[in-house]
Amino acid sequence: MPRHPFVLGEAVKATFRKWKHAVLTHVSHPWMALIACVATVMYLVEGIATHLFASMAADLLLAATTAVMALTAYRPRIGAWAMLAVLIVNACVPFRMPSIITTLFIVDIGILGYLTTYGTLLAVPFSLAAMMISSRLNGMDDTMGGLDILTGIVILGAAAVMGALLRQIHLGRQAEIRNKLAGERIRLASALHDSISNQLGRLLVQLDIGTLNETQLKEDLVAVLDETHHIIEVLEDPTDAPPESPLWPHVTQLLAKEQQRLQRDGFRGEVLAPDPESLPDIPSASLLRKVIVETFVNIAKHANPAYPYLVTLQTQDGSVMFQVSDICRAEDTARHGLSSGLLRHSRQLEGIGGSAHWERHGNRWRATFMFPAASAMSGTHAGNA
Amino acid sequence: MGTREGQPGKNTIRIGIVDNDPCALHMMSLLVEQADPAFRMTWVAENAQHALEHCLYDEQGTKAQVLLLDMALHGLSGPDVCERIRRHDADVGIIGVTAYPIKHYRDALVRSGAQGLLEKHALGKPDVLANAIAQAAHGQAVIPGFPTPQAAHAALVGTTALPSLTHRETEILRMYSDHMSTEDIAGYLNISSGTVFSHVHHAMGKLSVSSRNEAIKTCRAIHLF
Repeated sequence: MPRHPFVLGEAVKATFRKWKHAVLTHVSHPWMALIACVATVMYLVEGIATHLFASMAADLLLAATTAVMALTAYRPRIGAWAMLAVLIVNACVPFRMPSIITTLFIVDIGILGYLTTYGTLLAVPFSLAAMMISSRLNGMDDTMGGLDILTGIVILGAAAVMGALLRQIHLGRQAEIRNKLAGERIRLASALHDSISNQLGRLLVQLDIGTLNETQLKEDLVAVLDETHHIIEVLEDPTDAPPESPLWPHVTQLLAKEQQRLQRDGFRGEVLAPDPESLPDIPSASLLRKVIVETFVNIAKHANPAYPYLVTLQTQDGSVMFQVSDICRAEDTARHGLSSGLLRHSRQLEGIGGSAHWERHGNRWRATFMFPAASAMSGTHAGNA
Repeated sequence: MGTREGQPGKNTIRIGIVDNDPCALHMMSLLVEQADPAFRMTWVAENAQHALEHCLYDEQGTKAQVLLLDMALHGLSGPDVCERIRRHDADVGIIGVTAYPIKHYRDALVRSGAQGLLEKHALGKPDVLANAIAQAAHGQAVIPGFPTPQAAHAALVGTTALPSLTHRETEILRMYSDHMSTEDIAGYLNISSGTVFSHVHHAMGKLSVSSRNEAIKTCRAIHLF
């Protein structure tokens, strides 16, 4: 019974996928391999058609050249230099070899331009010299004159430049991938610090000051576990990350939640925020949330609960200003700057045109963060254009 | 931190001024200093954070006895700032100043524990300003209907430490309690339904409740409406 065409098609596709996987696993530069295969076939076709069995030396050279070109598919860098060498030999032997070697010189120069930084500076003069020798040895009436040499330089030079350009594009893409990976690592570290580390730190502070009860501990640990699961889910499927909630209602809710937490720990304070309608859009919404969480953790760590802490969110000169003040504990002489988390956030903030600075006068501490509005940033970009 | 030290004297009244407009701040400083030789500028501040720091952190001997408080501070409301100060301080006399008609802020300022409210254009009359400051410094209400600092502090100290609602939030919840629909409220206030929800969400967060009905119940319990 004949196999159904659909089944045959699936079998072909499966075989193709298997070969593709094998090629991609064992071949480091698939495009180089493809070019080398095409070049090999072209050389072989002309070689067999016109030069096979012309002489033993020619046959050996044909075979050697074919083998080297096939090597280029598997090991492009070594193969390209070896190919250059055999092509030069092809050009310099006293008997005729396939005329396609001129084209192969150009292809090889292009490959060397892609694979090496300065290799073409060596390859181009040698190739040109080989072509000049070939034209003389083959008994041509017109050996390469000045114009021919210039044309040769231009063509080989263009091949070298093309290869170099492709190399730069490739390197740029690799750098982009490396930067993206580095960014992902930093993002993961920040997420771990800002959510899980901060929450655990807060629990430790609460344990130290003795304000933690079992129910609250369980609640907070469940929250840390949920946050861990969320980060894992986002890592496993970044496209599944939930969309960002609308900024200002979420920020005011976050402020109220953090204030309640501090209240449980025995801290009293005042948190003032304006009507959401009066606040401009800011592009750094997630950064603001991180600063808020980190700020409240620092209050729990460093502030003297005998004095109220003060937190305000205001507009100033079109930007959003977040300020926090408290009285440090007398024994806390180490608080002479922003915490590591706030330092990191402040660097990010400065990167987008905002600012962060802190002041300490005696035991009075204040930190001020300015978040530029989205309209201010786009105006700046327009002005700089 | 926006501080100017004053000259100490036997009957000196220490005054702090907060206004987000530097010109208005400078003008009020001059008017205060010219109003009475006993008045001494202790500090001036251009935003609520600095003002709160002075009121809550300054040492007793250098703390301002009277505060002139602008009603609009970089998006924050003067009554809100006043209430936060009053919750922690039973002594400082707070006088609101505004460029708007008094009725715009009067009720909110009474609830938040201030002793009076003056229109900015009236500050030019030296007797008005001098009398208001003197009365506030002595723990008296400047305008009938306003509480004394001690009475206001006592009324507020038992309330929750959570932020109070803005005028718009209170208004929207009041409308919901009057059984108006979201669309009706949005149309009446000339805002979108999304903004109405946003205000309600904001208020729920401040009141630590999880539903609109609970928010309305809480507002009624604390006599917001």
